[in-house]
Amino acid sequence: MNYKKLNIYESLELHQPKSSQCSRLYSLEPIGIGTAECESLTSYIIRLSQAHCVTVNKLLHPNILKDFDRKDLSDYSQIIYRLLRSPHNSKSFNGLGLTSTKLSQQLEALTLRNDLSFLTMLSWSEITTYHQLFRDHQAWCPVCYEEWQTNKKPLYIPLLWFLDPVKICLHHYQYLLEECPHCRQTLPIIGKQMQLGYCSHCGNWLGSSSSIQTYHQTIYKDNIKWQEYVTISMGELIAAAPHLSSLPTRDRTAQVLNTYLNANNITKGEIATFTRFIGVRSENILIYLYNKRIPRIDKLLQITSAFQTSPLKFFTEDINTLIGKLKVSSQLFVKGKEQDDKPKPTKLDKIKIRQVLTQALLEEVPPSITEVAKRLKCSRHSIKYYCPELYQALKLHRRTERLKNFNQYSLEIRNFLEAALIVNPPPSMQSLTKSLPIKSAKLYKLFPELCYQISKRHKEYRNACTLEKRNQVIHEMNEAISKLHNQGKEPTLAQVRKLLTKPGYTREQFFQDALFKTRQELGYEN
Amino acid sequence: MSTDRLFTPELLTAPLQARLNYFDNYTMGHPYLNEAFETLKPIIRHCGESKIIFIFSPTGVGKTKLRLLAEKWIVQELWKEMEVDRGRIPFASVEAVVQKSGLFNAKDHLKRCLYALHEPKEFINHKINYGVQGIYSDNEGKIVIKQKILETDLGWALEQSLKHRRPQTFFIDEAHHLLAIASGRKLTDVPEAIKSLANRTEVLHGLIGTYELLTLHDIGEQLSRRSVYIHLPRYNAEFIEDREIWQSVIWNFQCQIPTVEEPDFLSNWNYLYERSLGCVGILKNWLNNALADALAEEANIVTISHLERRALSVGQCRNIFKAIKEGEKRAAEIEGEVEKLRIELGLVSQPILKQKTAKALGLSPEQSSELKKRKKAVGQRKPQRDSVGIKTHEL
Repeated sequence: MNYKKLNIYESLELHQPKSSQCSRLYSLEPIGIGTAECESLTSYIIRLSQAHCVTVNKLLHPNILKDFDRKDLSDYSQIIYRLLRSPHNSKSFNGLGLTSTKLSQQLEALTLRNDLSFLTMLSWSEITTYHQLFRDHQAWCPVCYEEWQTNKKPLYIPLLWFLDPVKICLHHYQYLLEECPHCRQTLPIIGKQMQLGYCSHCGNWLGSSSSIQTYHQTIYKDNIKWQEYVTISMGELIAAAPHLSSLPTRDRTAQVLNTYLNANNITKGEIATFTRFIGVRSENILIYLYNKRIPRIDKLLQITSAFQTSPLKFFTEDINTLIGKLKVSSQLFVKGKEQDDKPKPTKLDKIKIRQVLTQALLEEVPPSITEVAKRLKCSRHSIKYYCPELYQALKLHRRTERLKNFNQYSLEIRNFLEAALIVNPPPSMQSLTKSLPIKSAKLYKLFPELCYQISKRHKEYRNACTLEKRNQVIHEMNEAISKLHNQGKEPTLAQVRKLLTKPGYTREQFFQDALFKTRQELGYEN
Repeated sequence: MSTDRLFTPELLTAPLQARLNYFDNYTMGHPYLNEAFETLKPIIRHCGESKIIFIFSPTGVGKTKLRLLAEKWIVQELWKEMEVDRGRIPFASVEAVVQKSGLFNAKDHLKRCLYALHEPKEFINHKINYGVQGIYSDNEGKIVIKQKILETDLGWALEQSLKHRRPQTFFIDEAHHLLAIASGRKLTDVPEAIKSLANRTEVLHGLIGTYELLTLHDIGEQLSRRSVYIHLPRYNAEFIEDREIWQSVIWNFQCQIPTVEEPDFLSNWNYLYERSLGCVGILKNWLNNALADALAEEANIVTISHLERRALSVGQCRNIFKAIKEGEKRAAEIEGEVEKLRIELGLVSQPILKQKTAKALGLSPEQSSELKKRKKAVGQRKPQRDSVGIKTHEL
């Protein structure tokens, strides 16, 4: 045999090269990062659950997170459990606190992305407070939904629509809707199961082509400029988040305000006029100046609009450059000073106070001090300060009159309560207080014995009613059992349930005990 | 024929299990395997409109080895892309399984596919169909989610999964099991579903199986039109070239056997061919078993007796060979169809001018086109049939 043509063949290596592990969940691309229309984290979660064809609560189930240590896992599962149980609390998903930090970190680890924190307001957590920043329900522009649906673009909820100051859609110049046009209910931000663009209560389409005409409001002309400013400003903040070289610090507002005051030679004494120009109360401004608190979002927007700048520039530009630009608007502030022609409060007339108080003393039903203060358009303290004798006299007079009236009134109430002890069926204290202009706590304080007797009588009556109902149900159950037994069928819970007029009682413990007992008598239980 | 052994001498002093593992893990790049792999590469790289590849061969030739080769190659090709898009997977492979009932279960298969696509197993039993009717509201206005997971929901989920994971190729091994369906269902149901899935998701599907796969070529016009067929044949002793390669294959195995002395398989090449039918996979498995026996007996060499003890019986060989012959015949028919089609289309004969056909009939081209048109109504006599004028005897 000639084997001259033998060849050596290559030995093949079939082991896979060690490649990087793919993400546990799909690495879904967030929509609009780096623009004002950036997607919100809750919307991303809903889209991710749709991509995986599971419900939101399945997607966020702690079992998915196997690579996290136990402490993190328990924290996470607690957060999710709490938030999904009460959807209106879930506004913190897109917020600027620990919840959104943890949630975005977990999702980043699961999808192996590094940009999910930009779907929340985390970048701006140091410049404004959580209060009044977010809505506790959804808001949407139906025309936007309709356009996306028509152009076959993915439906999503921009982060901008969750911010409470934002009321309009800049693309279509109409107010955002906050309740479903079909069932008139507000929609939770995220729930156990949701579908974007559809109502989570009635399941109807929320776009403008839905069968019901959406309530279209035209924006008031005097309001439109402010709404535009707010929407554009908030959009700028969202868009700039991924491009920030460093996050703004907590003391930035104080720095800018102090630098501005120093640059314009405004002393602390002139703060009141300065605050009138801005439109924020002076005590608030002082708190910001001394860096004791950061401004709420509405105050922040008032401050930045007064300075004719955007919040983004206010927080990210170099302070000296910013102050240079703000000098332009300081002329406005000077104008504000000149135009400060608000009438100064005049000193109260002592004689007038005397007259009003004397008249009040002569009235059949003496008025309270508060009422007198309203008549005089001054505070209670001013009355006490200018006419202390008359103030005390009116107080005493009013007290004696009220006591007189009260004694008469309490006699009426006693009679009313005593009558209630005889009435059948015995009324509850709750129903009695509804018919009286007095709170139940007060009644218990005045007539404790009577009240406890009424309450006890009502309780006994309720217990008797319950017992009667239970006996009826057990009687019905026994009839059903005997019927089934005679037919040769085993009286199981499911079979008995079918024959009851009120099958809900089968869940009660007393029913199950009675059923067990009867089944035992019939020899079905060992 | 003596030669240098193809493994390191240290292996001979290694424990028995290590030596067994060495031979077990050895994969030979024999010519037909390389040829099929080279054919497969450009299709995986760019498949165009053909979204389905059928890779068919007899049993024990190396289909799964070919799949593993392709998978390794895809990972190397997509290395950079994988670093950028961490949600993507380079490939996915699933094995079509026949249930205890002897039938293929589509629902079970879909779940396996999802698992192969790295879907968390916590999700697989809780799929809902957002696309059609996953969520709806009942009469009371309450949102209802279908709890029962249906085949359609899983199908929808698989489509979403393929779209998001974007594997370069989705291999279905033992794909001939897809045809093991209950009577009353169309044979092409499952493969047609795979074809439409491949078109919708634009993911190349590789169906790997025995010659039974060719049944789909005969019955599914739609399916075969947009498919690529790759044949991984056995070595056929009828051909001289195949015999030579077969001897080389045996020699390569002989050099890789980690026994103290080199065995002489080459002189028994025809016996080895007889009981492995020219299938490299069957031969490798056989040699592996014989080596295990030899090492267990602490023998220094794998002898013919070891081989005989672990060889397939003649009956088994006959059964396998019967299936192989049938399959090869069908494969040859498919390959021969090309020529048949060319003849039918008139590509083989010399073309002629269109006008010549008209001139042969003595008609203008316009008239020739009207040849088939009826000129007269039914029942109207032809004028030439009746004589005209006065006959002579009447004058």
